Formats: sequence, C-alpha cells, structure tokens
Amino acid sequence: MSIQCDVAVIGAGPGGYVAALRAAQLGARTVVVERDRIGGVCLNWGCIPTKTLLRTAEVLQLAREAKDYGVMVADVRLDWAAAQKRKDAIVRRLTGGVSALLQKAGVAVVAGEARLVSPRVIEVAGQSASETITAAKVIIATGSRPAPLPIPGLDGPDVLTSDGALALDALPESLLIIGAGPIGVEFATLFNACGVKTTLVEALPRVLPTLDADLSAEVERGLKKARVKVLTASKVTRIDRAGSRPQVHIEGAAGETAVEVERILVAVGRRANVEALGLAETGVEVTKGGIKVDEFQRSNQPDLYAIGDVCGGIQLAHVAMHQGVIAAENALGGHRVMHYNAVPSCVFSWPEVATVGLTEEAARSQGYDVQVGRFPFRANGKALAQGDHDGLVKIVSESKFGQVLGVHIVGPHASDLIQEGTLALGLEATLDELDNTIHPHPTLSEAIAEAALSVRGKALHI
Amino acid sequence: MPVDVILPMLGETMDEATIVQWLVRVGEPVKKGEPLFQVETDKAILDVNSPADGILASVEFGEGSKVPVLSVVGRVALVGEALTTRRTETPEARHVEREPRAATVVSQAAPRRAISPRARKLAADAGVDIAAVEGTGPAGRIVEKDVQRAIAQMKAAPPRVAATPLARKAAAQAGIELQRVRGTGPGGRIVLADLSPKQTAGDTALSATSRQGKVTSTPVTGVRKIIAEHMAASSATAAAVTLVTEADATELAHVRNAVRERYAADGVTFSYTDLLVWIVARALRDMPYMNARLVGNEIEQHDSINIGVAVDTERGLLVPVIRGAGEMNVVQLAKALRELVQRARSGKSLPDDLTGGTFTITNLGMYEIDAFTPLINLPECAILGIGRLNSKPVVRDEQISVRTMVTFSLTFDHRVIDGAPAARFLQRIKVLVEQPTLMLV
Repeated sequence: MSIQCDVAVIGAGPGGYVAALRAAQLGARTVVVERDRIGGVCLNWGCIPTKTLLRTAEVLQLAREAKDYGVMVADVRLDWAAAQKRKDAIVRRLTGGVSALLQKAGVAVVAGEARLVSPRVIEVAGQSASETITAAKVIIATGSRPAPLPIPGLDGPDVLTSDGALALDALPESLLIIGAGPIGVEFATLFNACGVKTTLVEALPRVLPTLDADLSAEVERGLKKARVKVLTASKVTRIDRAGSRPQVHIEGAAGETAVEVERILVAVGRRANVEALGLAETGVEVTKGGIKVDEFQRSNQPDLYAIGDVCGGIQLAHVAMHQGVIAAENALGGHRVMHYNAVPSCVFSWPEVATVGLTEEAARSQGYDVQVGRFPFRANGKALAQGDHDGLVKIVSESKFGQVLGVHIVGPHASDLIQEGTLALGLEATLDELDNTIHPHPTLSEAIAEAALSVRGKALHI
Repeated sequence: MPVDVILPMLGETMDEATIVQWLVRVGEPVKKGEPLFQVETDKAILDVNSPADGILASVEFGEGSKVPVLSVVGRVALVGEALTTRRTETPEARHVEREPRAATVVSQAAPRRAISPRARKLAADAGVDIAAVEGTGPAGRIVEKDVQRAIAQMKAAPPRVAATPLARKAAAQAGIELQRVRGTGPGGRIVLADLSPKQTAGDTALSATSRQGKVTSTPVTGVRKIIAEHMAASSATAAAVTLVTEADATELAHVRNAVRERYAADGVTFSYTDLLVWIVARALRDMPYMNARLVGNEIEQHDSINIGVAVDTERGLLVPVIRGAGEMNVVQLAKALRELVQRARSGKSLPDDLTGGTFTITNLGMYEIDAFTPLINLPECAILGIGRLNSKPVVRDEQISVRTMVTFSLTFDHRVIDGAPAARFLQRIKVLVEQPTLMLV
C-alpha cells in the first residue's frame, strides 16, 4: 500500500501529535506514524503517569497530616495497585483523547516502525503489512529513551529505568536512585512518600544542579526533612551482588560507602532515538545530541524537519510541542523561529520547583549587573492557610533597565505560578511592569509581586 | 506680531527635513541673518538663519523632529514685543463668535476660540481639538485652512509603535527612534534584539546551524531612501540603452602626466575623472542634444553644461554637480570637483551642490570594472560609465603594441535620443580621449 500526503510526522509523542494537529489545521493532508502508543513517553511513561502517582503520594501525605488541619482520619494506608489502576485509567483517557483529536483533525495514524528511504519517502513496517508514505515534508519526532550508564553491575534485573519504575506491581522496601536531576528527584519524592526507604545519589555537589542554587537548597532541605538519604558529590562506582541484595558502592567526599537496596533506579540522561530511521542513508546530519536543526526546526535536508528530544537540546514536552507547531508551520511555507529565552521548566518535588530564564549565576557570568529579589512563602497568607509554606520566589534582574532575567519559584503550586514569569520574559517586561500589576489577594501569586518589589527594597510584607 | 521662522526649501527635491539642533534657546536674543537652527536634509546638514532681530519666542518643533518644508518651526518676537503666543485668547476674539451649544465637553472646558463655522465643522468631523489649533485669520481667528493644517499634522504624527517595555527603555537610553526600528517580536512588536544587530549568546549557537543566517534589517531612510526612489524610478521609466566602446587613452595619460607636473607645485592634482569631465563637457558643447532633460512631456535642452559626478560616500551614493562645466578649463574643473567631493563626503553639501545636473559621469575603474550598465540620473537623458584604464596589447598600424585602454559605457534614454546620435556622441568622446589635441580646436 502507498500513501501520498503533504506532511508526514514520525512519532506521536507530544511534539509529533501537536505538529500533526497543526499541519492538519493548516489544511495539509497529514499522516503520523507511531510504533508504540499514541502520546509517547510523556503521556504513557513520563509526565502524566508520574504526576498521577505523585498525586496519590500527596493525598497520602495529606491524610497523614490531616489532624494538623483538624480532620481525623483513621487507617491511612496506601493501595499501590489501586493507585496504578488510577494512573492507567488517566493515561488511557488522555491517549484516547489525543487519538480522538487526531481523528477529528483528519490525521491518518499509521502503526509501525518508520524508516526513511529518501528525505520524503518513508517505509513503515507494520505488524502485518508494510506501507510506503510519500510526503512533501517530513517531521521527525521520535523522541528519546533513557541512556545506559557505564557502571559495573548496572545490568541486573533489580535495576530499573523510569519506565520500569512506573510499572512496578509492588513497591520495593528500599530504592537507590542514581541522578538527582528532575526525574530522580520526582521519583525520590514519590517512592519515599509511599514508604520506600529511598537513597538519592548525585555526582554533582547539589540536587537539581542545573537550577538556581537557592532552589536546589530548598529542595534538598525538603527531601532530607522527608527522610530521603541524599548523597551529593557522590558517584556510584559499582554494584555487586554477592549477598541476597545488591550492594551499591558509592564514592563520596568522605570516602567509599556501600548501600544495600532492593531496587536501583537509573535517572541519568536520555539518548535521542535516531537509530534505524535511515538518517545516514538519506544524508540527514546527526550530531552527538541528535538531529541537527536550525532555528526553523529544519534539518540539513530542506524537506525534513525534526522536533523534540530527537534534536537533543532542551528535552521537555512543552518545548517539543512548541517546536512541533513551528515545524508544521514552516513545513507549510511559514517562517517562524524557535526562541529559547523563555522556556519554563518544572520539577514536581516537594516543595515544587518551577523556573524560567537565567539563574543568578548564569546572569552574572553573562555580564549583567545582577539584582536579586526574594520573597519567602512563609510570609504569604495563602501559603500559611494552605499549610504549605516552604520555599520562596526569587527574581533575577539587572540594574540598567530592571529587565527580568529569571524567575525561580520553589514552593506550593510553583508550576502554576511560573507563567507570570514566562510571560514577563517573553514580553521583555521589567520590574516596573511586575510592580504595576495588581495581584489578587489572598493568593500565592502575591509572592511574585513581593519578590519583584524586594529587588529594589520595596517589599511590603517582609 | 512675532515673525514666523519658516523651514525654507533647501533644494529642489527636498520636501522635509529634520531639525538637528536649535542654536538659540527660547528667550534668548537673535540677530537677523545669524544661524538659528540646524536641519538635516537627505543630503546635508545646513544652518537656517533668523528672519529678524529679536528674541526667540517659541519653538514649534523640537530637535529630531521631521518637518515639512515651509512649515513654521518657531517665532521670533521683535524687540519690545511681549512674549505671547497666538494661542492666548484675546478679548476681541471672544465676541467674534459665540460657542454653539453643540460644542463638546472638551471644547467647553477649553478657552473659547474664535473660529469660522466651516472650520468648526471640519474640526468636529476630524476630531481636531480646536484649542490646539493656530488661528491665522483676522485677530487669530481659526479658519478652515488652519484646521486642514492641523489634520495634516495629526496624520503626519508617528503612529504608536508596539515595543516591549525593555525595548522602550533601551531605545530611550540609546536615543533610538522606535519608528525607525523593524520589530520581529509577536505581531511585529519591537524587542530588545531589534535595536541592535548584536546577537545574544543563546541565539548564536542556533544561528550557526542555520543556512538562512542572521538577517540584519536597516530601515530605508535618508540618502538610501532617495537613492532607492530615484533608481527605481529610473529603472522603471527610462527606455535605457547602454552602448559600450573602448578607447585608447595612452595620449590622455600623457596629458594627465603633463598637467600633473605643471600644477604639482600649486597643489592641484588631476585624476582621470577630472580630464574626462573636461572632455565630456566639450562633447556636450559639440552635441548639445545630449545636454538635455526630459521634464514631463518636454525635452529641455540646456545651455549650461552641469555635469554630475557620482561619489561614493559613507551615507551612500551622492552626485554633486559641477555647474557651468562647459565654461571651465581643466584646472578649474579639477578644483571645483575636489571641493564638491569633499563637501559630499563630509555631509556638508550645499543645497545646490546636488541638484540641477544635465549629464552624469560615474567611474568604477578603481574597482577594476570595465563595462557596466549605469542607471540614468533622471530627468537627465544619459550617463557615462567609465571603466578601468588598463594596459592591453592592441593592433595599431598592423603591429601589436601595448596601449592604455579604457572602456566607456553610455546609457541613454531612448525616449529622448535615438541610438545613432547617442553612438555619435560616444564616438566623439572616444575621439577626444584618443586625440586630446583636438580639445584645442
């Protein structure tokens, strides 16, 4: 069988399905090829399932603390299997929703493994038959997968990737997580709250090492308060299985220690899915990080675009989605440029983290005359009412115009609050615009206004 | 009554100018004929003198404003006169006409103004606030013409520009006019990066992978705008034909060396362009049909030979004109051209330096260009392109000898001149170049 279309998208993850929807919206005959599940990692094994399980952990935690709020709850315990069922139902609902959206938009979904024969011809090996798709433009959105780590012993059946950790039938007694990036920190939060004895190992000196140091400190404090064993500046050197349980050997500042755990979770790095796509044969340039693209999301082949994790760069679902829109528009004659100056990112730890723009350190190293404002949630009425007042809002600005360079939030609902900062950065707002914006009372958003005021020593509530 | 300070017509093609600087502040004394303010036209910066002795009473357009020519830009109060402006209500103005009841809240609140009914209706229709309109009728009464001028000024006012708060602040500090900046943000909004072509660190990495590269946009204004309009008009309207011929300039080279030596002590230098202007002026005198301009439906043949010479300046291509080139000897021509070029390059051309040409010469020889197709400087009817002087083997008297050769490209407007007369003109130049002694007869 053969299919002719205007735009063919390979991969139906968040980047791919959005690109397909946008292309169809613009009137293109659009096909999307998916080898596994619609929605990709984000919907099936990433963002959504982890958030679903984290919510379970959160409700569990709240039930445990209910008496602090004057609510007496007896017999609080976790039913992991029920939590998994809830997660699966939500994932099904969302992936079903995406399928419906694609169908409504008139996007044809082809199941199978895609391989480029030329920049515009794709062969899809399906379960029963194979198809040839000839497209005017192709958008590659094949995503990424966990990268293996070269550590001796890191190949046993007790070693999990994030996919495996989400599908566990039963909770382990103990878990050691390698890597305290967003994925590691979220899993540590989740499993620890669910009663798993959790150890978090990070090679760099602090957790969430790419984020602003103030945020790292707050998250590390939160993890330790919840009794997660946090080992920073520490490296896993090997795993031996002489005993009944794996022994993880860790080299830290204080020398080598060994931790005995039931399970090990690797949460370090992801690798672009560039293999088996026929990229080399079609002359598509691939670098170490992934497919090389320009600011129009176009590869070195004029009719071939790539978006999302497969390009390396910032591997976030919302970046892939935005790139997907831009690639679809450019493939159909547009001329939109992808900007990265205002990309928010969130970590669903306790307290939650959300950040956009430059860290204080990065702003200084870029030569700005940096001015910082901070406001702690413990001085915010709504946060106190909620009983959730750890953390702060930090605003990084420069002295010349008061340009807002970065907004960093750690605390309740940080991921929902960050958009004010994203908009501020995208619209090149200065402190004056934040100062002049009325924030509703009583809300957590007041902390952003106060942080902006505090840059110039004008904060009112501290 | 104070005397109006008018922005004069400073050149034929000029319809607006930018006020660069007021040399006198309001309230300071001025003397008739002394510089009052500086304006920048598309071609030069010029001083405008005070029209009267007195005190500078008001300034209507600040520094940096673009002003149509013949506008009132300020007023000079004569000595002894009170520093009042016409906006002040006068008692007699009040009973010239009563404010009708239909007047808007705004105009009721404003001081009552004497205004003609037609002017009032026009102002109301166009939404002009009459309180801000200058009355030029009897006793300062506002007449229809005044409102029309106010409407024109309203239209000329720059529209609101979309820019981010940061871009606004940075532009204000750097003195950049946002009207001149092209925005690349959402909906054409001006963002910080639009103010300077400098890239941010984040952009650089991405641009390196782009085959499109970074695009730097510069608004087409000033000299560039004039050039753009002239060249497009030339290209679009003239029936341009280019003739190319090669001339033996060996003798001319001898002449150049001779005059150079002779005048070296006087500090006069001679370029080939000087000599060629001299020769072209002679050819134009011999064949006056080439010294013509097409204006409207009429071909003007000019007595005065005014030769423009294309000059590459920092601000772009300028064409200063040697007036009366037909009456000058080569030394006078060389001196005149030197001065014109200097003024053009330093942005100090006088208004008449750049207008009134009847023929243009353009020389690209220094860039090793031989033949090209110059665009006619309308309304002139022809332009001569001079190529490089180059030693070449040529056949002369059945012998191969090395001669200094030059290529001429004559573009003419076939609407005005036919091919044969144009060719005869080019041939005439060739002959004069090859046998400069003919310049004597």
